[in-house]
Amino acid sequence: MLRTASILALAIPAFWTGTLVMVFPSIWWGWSPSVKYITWAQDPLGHLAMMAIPALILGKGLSAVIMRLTRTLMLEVLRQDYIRTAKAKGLATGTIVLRHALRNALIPVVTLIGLQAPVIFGGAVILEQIFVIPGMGLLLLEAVTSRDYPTITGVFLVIGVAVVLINLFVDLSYGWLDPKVRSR
Amino acid sequence: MAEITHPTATVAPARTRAPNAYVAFTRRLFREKPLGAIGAVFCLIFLFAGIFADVLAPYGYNQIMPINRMKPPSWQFWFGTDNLGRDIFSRVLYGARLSVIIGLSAAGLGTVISLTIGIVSGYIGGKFDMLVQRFVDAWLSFPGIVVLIVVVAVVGPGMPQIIGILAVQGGIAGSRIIRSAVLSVREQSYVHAAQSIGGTPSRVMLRHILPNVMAPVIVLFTVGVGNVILAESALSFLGFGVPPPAPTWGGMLTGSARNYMYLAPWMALAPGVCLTLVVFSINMFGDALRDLLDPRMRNR
Repeated sequence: MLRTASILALAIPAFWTGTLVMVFPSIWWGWSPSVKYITWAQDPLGHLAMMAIPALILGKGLSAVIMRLTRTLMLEVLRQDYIRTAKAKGLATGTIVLRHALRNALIPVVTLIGLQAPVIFGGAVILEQIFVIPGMGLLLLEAVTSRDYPTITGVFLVIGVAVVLINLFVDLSYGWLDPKVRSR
Repeated sequence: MAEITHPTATVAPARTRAPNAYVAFTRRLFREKPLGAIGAVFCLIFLFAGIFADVLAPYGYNQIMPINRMKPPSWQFWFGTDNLGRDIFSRVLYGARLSVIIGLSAAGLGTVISLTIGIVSGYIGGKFDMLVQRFVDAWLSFPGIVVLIVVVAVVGPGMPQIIGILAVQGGIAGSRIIRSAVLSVREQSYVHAAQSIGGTPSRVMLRHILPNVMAPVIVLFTVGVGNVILAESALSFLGFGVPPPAPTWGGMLTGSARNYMYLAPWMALAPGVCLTLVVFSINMFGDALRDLLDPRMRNR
């Protein structure tokens, strides 16, 4: 069931969800997500609220992948001996799942999050176009249509550096998650 | 019961019994993975719609009927008409054809690229493998859609270019999976046996390794078709896909159509629903295939 839901979430293209969110609320309730850009300096809350819907849509696809991997890993971990020990100690189910199982299942999940970093930037291009957010994605689209090669190169450089940095943080987080890695 | 009646079909089917094995496999698919079977049926319907779009479509994909502009769905126009008075149902059917062509050819080409990179890199190993994998790493650290946009902007839009780019993109990403499969096959004793009787590397790769990594390849291809269709529609949506008069599903959701969607919301529905349904069923089918082909996953 969960598997089906995650495949469905993956199959619905972000640009279609974006289009539907733009079109249907305005027809049904006369409300539509604002396409007016609010800077952080003008209104910090409005700035975040504006980003919320595109962020949710982008997150939907990514969460599906993470959900599936976490499920597989949890199934694996919950069969381990130390989980049985924890149960035998009489710990609450919540504590076992969160502190004993999830923490051990988390390393591949965090790796996956690092691998998904490029996908975030790719999805941003599409969603920034729909919601008219003047971010790097829209900048790239404009640069491509006007054959502005220095800008394209610049955007690529920033994306590349960002992906490398995200993966660096992922690697560092291993130590925080797993004491075995820390000692090295 | 099943494992007693068809022991040969589930293990390695002999060449001569191949048709039998296919029948048995289909039966297993329907019995063990009903959702995957539904996915397969939808894929077939989609394939059929694409191939026979000429016969099935009531109107031409670019047949403009100014009187019937923005008509809601009715018996005459099943999915309604768009802002130029074109029948959306017909356009969706022709769009299915484009998606079939691009999906199958790009995924096929991509699988060949994956196989070439994956097998050669995995089999040779050592420094060469290291070098190739770092190149793949670098490629994967850039978002696919961004690379696609830039390359299309440089070489210009058009079917062959788009198929080529999508194939290279998917091929490089998929080579990882093939390589990891090759790494485990390479250590099998039959490969060592083939090497010790003097089989050349190309012979070992083609005759011994290739047939044994076919299970991931089939899954890779199936899921690849879905990914390619999604990527192509995203490209068309951004205006870098197959140029306008051609009815692509992504293209039907973009451009001037967006300005009319508030008046004719059905314009936004049909292409998106079809896209989602097709990608969903391809992935369901791929998922079922992976479970059936991979013995380790069998009892999950």
